[in-house]
Amino acid sequence: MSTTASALHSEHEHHPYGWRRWLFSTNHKDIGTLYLLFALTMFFLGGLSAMAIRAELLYPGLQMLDPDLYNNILTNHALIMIFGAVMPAGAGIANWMIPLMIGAPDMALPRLNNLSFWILPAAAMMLVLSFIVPFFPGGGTQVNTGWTLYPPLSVQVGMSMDFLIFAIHLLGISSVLASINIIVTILNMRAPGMTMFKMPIFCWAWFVTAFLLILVVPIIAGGVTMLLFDRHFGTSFFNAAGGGDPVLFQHLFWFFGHPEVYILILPAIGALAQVIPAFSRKPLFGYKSTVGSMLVIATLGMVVWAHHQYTIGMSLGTVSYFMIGTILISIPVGLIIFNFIATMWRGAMTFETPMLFATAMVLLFSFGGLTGVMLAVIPADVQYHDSMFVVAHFHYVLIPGAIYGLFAAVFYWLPKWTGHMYDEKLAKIFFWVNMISFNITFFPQHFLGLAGMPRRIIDYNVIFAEFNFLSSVAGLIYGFSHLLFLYIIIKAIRGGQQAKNKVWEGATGLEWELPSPPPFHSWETAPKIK
Amino acid sequence: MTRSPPAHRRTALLIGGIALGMFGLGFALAPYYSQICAALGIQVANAPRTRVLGPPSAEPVARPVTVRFDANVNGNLPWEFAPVTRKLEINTGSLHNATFRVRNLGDRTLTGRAVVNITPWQATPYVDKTECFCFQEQPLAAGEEAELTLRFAVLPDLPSEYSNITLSYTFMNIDPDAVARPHGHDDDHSHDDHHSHDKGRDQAHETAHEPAQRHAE
Repeated sequence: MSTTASALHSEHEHHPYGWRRWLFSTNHKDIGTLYLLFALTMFFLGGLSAMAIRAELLYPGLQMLDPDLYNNILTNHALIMIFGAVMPAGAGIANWMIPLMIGAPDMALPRLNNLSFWILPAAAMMLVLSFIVPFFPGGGTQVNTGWTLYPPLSVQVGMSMDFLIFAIHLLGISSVLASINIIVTILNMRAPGMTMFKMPIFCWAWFVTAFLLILVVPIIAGGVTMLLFDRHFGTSFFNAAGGGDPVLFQHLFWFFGHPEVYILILPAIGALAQVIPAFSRKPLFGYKSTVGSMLVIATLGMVVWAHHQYTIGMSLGTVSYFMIGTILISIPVGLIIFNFIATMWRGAMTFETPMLFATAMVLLFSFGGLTGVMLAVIPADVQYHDSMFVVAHFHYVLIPGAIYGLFAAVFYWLPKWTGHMYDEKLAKIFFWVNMISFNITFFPQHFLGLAGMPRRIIDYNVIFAEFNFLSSVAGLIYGFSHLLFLYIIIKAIRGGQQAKNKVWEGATGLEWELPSPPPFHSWETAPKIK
Repeated sequence: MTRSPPAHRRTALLIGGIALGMFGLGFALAPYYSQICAALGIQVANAPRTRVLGPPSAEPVARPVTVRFDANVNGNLPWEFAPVTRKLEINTGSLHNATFRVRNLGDRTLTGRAVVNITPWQATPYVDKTECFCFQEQPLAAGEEAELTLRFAVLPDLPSEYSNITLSYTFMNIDPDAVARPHGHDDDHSHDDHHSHDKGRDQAHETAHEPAQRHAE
């Protein structure tokens, strides 16, 4: 025991420099930074494909893409954004903040932490390869299935699907390892006196998210493994001719896919539970009900997956169950939203950039939730199914719900991470441009969907031309506004006004007791919790 | 609260075990999937639509139903069309005849085609027509008159909540020129027919008729 301790201690003594610092890193802050930089890179890659989609849809007819390439880019956009950008960004913030917030010196399993990050670049390479191998001789056909990878189409796609399957395996392994680490850290590494119910909500949100990941990521790993077997080893998991059923894949996929949206959103909700009290200068309203709601969301979220499959032909009793379950989820989600609003109520509110994003998330995520309830209703969903309405719905949930939450978190903690204040004026410009152009991009898509424009289609009827033009122009502005975000971050990393320990006067929590930026090793002696 | 590395390892292995268990569960679902569906009745939704309409059989208990007949002519056809048999009190499972009378009021030969609309629509698959003038085109010279027959049975497995059925026939002009011409409210008759009439639909009639309807909608 004592030898282990001293070995650990001597390891801490030398401060690695150069590429070794990053490649062999076991430091939660460095790994967190790596995660965030990786997520930012993938965010721009995924954004590039979104720009290609919107540019193609600027006018009816085929502009610059052909249908297969369009669907390839569409698949690329979804998978890169979900697995490459949002999930690693959440994991990066978790890595940085959880040990600081619970008074732990590092993550519980630092080497595992290193592994779970360094799997990601390899997985990203496989993912990107899966989109570009068809352009090389013998590369086969393009991945044109959309992110849902439904068979039988996904069984027929060329070798790019195999790259994609292995990329999903690697991404899944990385997520599961990171989740194990987060759960162990939260269970075992809290400072003395930091009980579970004194823990910041952000840590609770990640605790719940990590459990969701542990429970559902292996299912999709199993599903794509079966797909791989069907493709190459003559099995018939999804082949009706051999006694299988393609609908089984849909069940496996959505058993993962539905909790996945909570995996994307819960960390952002957790970040909001830090940001909103800080800028309302009041403690969070309803700590325990927020935690309870997150647990209910996670539990209910695991058992309502088939609302994505109302049209596959289930009995009335079964679809009714899935409908009621789905609508029930709006209760805990609504409770959290009301807790946020009650926190703001009569608070001494100020609107720095993190709070602007937090407020926008509360408002716009509620819009997305409302269209979600519309989609949960079976007779309506049969009409909306696979239309642009669905596209508008999930972008209203994921951009404000996940990405605005992450933006709020980034602006909230960026001074802590870099030690420099970011440019508040530019950040506010970024917020307004981003928020307005987001709404102009996606709001008309509701109307397009209701009027009958299907999703995942390269060409459309000329009656949809005006709204698509509007959506595309705003979409391009929205996309390019993120260059400003990049500039603000680079500027804050390179210099700026020195940040105080407690960057925001209303902020509470252990992380603000450390200097900005925190030393390479923090909380080597656990803080005292009152 | 801070615990030693062995405690970390134990927790990590436990959670890793859950992850592996879920991976196994995914595969376990494959063989159990169809049993689960069968047990929960998940795949029975299509059953009513895929039922095979055979010849009327006498095995389920026959029960009385009232069948009414209605006749209409679309505005593009100058014909007179009326049911001779207006109402039948019949038993399910047995064959019955109904007669209609049609007359060409125009001054030239015209060809019409009748389509049926059954109310309530839920009864549609249970009306089994063994012989119907609606299966064929009907040419009529100027002033010509014809008697039309319908031979049908109501299947005995008609759900018990339906005991009154109306068969409404509408004659349409099948000449593409006649239907392509924009016309007003008369179109309303033909809308419902798309859902209900069943056998031997005239394709030329349909394709010619649809664009006109889209505009009307």
